[in-house]
Amino acid sequence: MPVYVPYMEKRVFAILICTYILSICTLNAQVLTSEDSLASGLIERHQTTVLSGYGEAKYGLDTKRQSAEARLMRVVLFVGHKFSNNISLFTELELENALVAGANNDEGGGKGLGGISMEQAFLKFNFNPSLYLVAGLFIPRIGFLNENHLPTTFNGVDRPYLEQQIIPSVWREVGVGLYGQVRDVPGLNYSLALTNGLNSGNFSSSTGIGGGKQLGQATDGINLAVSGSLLYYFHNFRIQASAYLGGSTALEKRVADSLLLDGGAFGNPVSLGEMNVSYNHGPVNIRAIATYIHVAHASEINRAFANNTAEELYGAYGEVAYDLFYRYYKGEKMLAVFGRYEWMDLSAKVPSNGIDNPANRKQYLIGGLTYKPVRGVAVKADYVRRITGEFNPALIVTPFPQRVPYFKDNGFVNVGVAYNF
Amino acid sequence: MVSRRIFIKSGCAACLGLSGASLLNACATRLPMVKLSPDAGRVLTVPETSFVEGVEMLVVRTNTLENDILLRKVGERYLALYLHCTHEGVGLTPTAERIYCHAHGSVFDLEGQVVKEPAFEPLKTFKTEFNNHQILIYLT
Repeated sequence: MPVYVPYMEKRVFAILICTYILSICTLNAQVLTSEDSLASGLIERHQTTVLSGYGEAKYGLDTKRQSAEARLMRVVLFVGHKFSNNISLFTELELENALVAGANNDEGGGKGLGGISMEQAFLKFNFNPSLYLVAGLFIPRIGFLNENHLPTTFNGVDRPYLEQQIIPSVWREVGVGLYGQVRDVPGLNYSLALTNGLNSGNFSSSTGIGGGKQLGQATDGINLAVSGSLLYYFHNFRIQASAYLGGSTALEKRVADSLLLDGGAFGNPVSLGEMNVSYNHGPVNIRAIATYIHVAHASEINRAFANNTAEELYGAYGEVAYDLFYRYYKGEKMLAVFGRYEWMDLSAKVPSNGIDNPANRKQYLIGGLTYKPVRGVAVKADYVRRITGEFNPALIVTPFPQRVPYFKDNGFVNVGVAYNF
Repeated sequence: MVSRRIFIKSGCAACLGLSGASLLNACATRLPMVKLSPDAGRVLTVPETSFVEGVEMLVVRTNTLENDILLRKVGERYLALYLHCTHEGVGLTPTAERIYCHAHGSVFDLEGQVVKEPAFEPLKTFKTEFNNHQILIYLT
């Protein structure tokens, strides 16, 4: 039975509650913004919690299909906690596409198309200031964007396509990683990681190995992966090379045996190599990356899963950007004009039981602007021209009119906003 | 006609060769490190003699702090920068020109000012004092 409180008593009660909450916040406040994290290394304060985050939204128009998308692509909340000078926690919780909802919700039954996931959740153990180990769900250092994916730090409304389609985007797995600096060579960093492997059952011709990410949900098989990187800062250059080798049979042994797949730790291995270089001096920013993937025994994966896995994939891109505001604001504000060319082949080599698809040979020409009124906020606009080969009609399984028309030469107009704090 | 695969392999090999040559060159400019005793306390003492001829900056390590300090000699003064990224607290990589966060890409100049985000705030600096051939760094 509800208890009715007179109006004045409600107000007094509300004031008391607010006062109590404020006093708790004032007395015990340990939640800091990233600005306050300056203090987190001081000797007096051994435990601190840091709040941070980023997000991005876009409007994209497909000029050929005459169709547009307006999406809140992602909102990510970072919470970090320092337990001591040697042990810290890093977590990132991501909501993609704005809404995850069931049938019985206020936003309309079943409209939720989004996803909630942990982007990172790991503990960091410092051996010394030059060497630390992470354990949990983390992002190994592969490519430019995998580790540094904050939307205010790259040009273009969308992440570079190569680092979505060839190198899986924000590719996190469960494992341990060792990160260090080489003292004798200033600027040289290295990393070495041991994680769970990929799931080749989710590979595909059009998305490469990206669908095989297990994202902290690996439940079957004993497959593992090792990856390592060298990162070197030299004058105005940042040079990185990384490699990955991992088993792709995410099945327990009896199931793998029944499918005639190697269910060992490095069974049906996927190897990836990439190298990237960036140059930044004053208003000029240039970056380039090349990557190559080899899927050993792709024919056995195709035989087991009929997913048309390619044996080889590769690609590269180069980008040049110039900050028109640099002369006046030295990076505090930015208006960058940029151009990027991307080229990739997701079906560079197809096994005998696969089907080649020339549409997987892609080129992207991107030109646009990135405006930053202040560090941490970006307004972006770009035009993307995508040129591919013909779509192989043998791979069309959905008849007209359900099938989305495919255009070899298409253009996209995108605008977006992004933040990071 | 060179195939794309050969082109990529050749390009990568050339880049690796270039970076290897750069590494050898960089070996000559190793940053000296001064390791202080565990009971160094809140006032760190670095001997002036640590700055031998040609050395304009060095790394100071003490277990009192989570990360190192970059101590620079700028003319007659000493600048002590805390190598702790103001973004998410990762230890920074100092070089002769800039200071880098290897984890998330922040870049700082040798005065500790932000050159490139995601960090927004400059590096923390500690007060220094030169006294009796010793450089004193006050952590408070």
